Amino acid sequence: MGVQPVLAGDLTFIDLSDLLQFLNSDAKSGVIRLFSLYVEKPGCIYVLDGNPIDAFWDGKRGEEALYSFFGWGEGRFEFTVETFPEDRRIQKTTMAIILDALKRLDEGLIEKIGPIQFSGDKMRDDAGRIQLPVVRGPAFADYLYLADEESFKSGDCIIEQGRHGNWLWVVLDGVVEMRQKTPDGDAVVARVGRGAFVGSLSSLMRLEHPRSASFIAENDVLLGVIDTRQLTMDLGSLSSEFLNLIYGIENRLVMIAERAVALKYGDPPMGGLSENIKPVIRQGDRVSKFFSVEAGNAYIIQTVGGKKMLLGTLGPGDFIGRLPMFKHIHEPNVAAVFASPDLKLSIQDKDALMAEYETIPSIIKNIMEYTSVCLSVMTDLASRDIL
Amino acid sequence: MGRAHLPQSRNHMAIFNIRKREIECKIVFYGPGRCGKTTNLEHIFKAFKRQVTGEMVSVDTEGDSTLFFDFLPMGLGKINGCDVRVQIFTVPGQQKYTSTRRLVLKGVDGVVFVADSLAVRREKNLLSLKDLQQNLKEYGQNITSIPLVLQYNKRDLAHEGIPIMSVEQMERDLNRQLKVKSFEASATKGMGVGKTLQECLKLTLISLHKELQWAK
Repeated sequence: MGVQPVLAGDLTFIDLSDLLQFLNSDAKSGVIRLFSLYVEKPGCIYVLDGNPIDAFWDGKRGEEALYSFFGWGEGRFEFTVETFPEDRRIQKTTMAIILDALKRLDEGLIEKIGPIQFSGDKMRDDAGRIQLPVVRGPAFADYLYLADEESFKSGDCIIEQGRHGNWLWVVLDGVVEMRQKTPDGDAVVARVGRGAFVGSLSSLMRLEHPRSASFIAENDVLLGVIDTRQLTMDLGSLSSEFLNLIYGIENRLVMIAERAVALKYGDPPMGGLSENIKPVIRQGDRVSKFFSVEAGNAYIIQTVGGKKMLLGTLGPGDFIGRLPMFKHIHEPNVAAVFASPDLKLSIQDKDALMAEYETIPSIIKNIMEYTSVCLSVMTDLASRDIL
Repeated sequence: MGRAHLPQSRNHMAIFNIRKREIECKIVFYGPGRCGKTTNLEHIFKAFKRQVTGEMVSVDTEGDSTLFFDFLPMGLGKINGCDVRVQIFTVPGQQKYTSTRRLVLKGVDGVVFVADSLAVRREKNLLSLKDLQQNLKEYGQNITSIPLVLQYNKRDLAHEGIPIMSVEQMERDLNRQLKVKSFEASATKGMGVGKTLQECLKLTLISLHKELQWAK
């Protein structure tokens, strides 16, 4: 290796068809490497004089590999100028590849890889029924943490809301429903698939932590049982500030799930909140500081089309602000934060938290990534009131 | 990177390739399924063979094929000393092809709307035009300001006793508000195809030229 990329970027910003068209119009030669949290192995494309001539990924080669990259909804690319075998295994021109690949993608012939899997293009099917997307976690590769595997049949209860327990699973196959108790029985608040975690890190570290949701197998499900002894030791070596960050994001997930259900059952959009609140962070602001709530309450409030909606209430121990690793957090992009009169905040050292993040085991990073994606999907459900 | 985007005053995406001294722009043939977009492109590809660079890409999408080729129009002169290269596309009509539509419509510089003269396709034309307006809006463009030409295709079917709409009716239906140039055509016979394309190219280049003047 040792070859520095001459061009690199995020696939959600410049997608593969843009990248290939760019390399094509300037007749560039080199190697594209593709990386995603949601696949175990990186992909690779050889580009000669602007045309892709060969590609490799996960045992696939040539056109088959190249087409599969169009399904990556998340990831990074790097382009390096280096020598490579110039055997032309792919004969089609760049535009022929792109048009063919996009057609296959739209016809559902290319597997979509990424955190959120919609069954269609929308949240509802043709009959108007809600079709929740499936939230996935990053590709699971931490086999050292796998203590056992467990199978569940469709309808089996994996976790029951309100019970105590600290088992943690990763979904290896199938789809699991996250449900919340409501006056009309259980409501499905999320559907989670491969790479998703069932259970929380908070339940490992906090005794007497009742389960905040039920998890039911939607179809035949294979779960990996996580070795919680190892994980508990890992958590034990983290700073208390970092642990609060983990609890904070998991707490927000619980908060938004409960709020989505409350909204469905007629709770007013502002949840009966008093007028006596002041903005701390406005929606759309640039936020550079990161806070921890010491006392009082902070309210996450979203404004859409001039209407305000309470997404949830935070209390002591929760955090406010944004860190680069959370792509999907509320404030400031999709919501504002308001303060109760007695709110007290302390400023957290963002750089220290980010530096610590770089050192934590990948399984904890993956749980945080999954939780933040799940949070964004559930926020979308709650704010559009489509449970 | 040897390449610069034109000013984004109207979300134009024509691209300067400074190394090749080329301006690359995009013209899209839009219209309801089976209106003759594909036949238009096939005719252009054959009749203007010398101006076509490279092969025609044809992807078998449901309802209509999606076609693409590169075109170097002759006799239009240069813009700021650069040759003009045009990418010509058709858009698949079916709703589900969102990724293809996004690619094709992203940065479109000129549009030919091909309407079907068959009386039974009246509704389809209206829906497709509305769809075009919405899709352009989604990609930051406006149907009233983008270089646009209408084509009333399949005029020849009248000779075979098949009921077609009058040009006046089609103008009322589709062009009352847009007030753009429209052409009668019979793509299977090649009639009117060249004229439609020429007009769209002309409008597109005038519009590019204007943007360059503003940019100076």
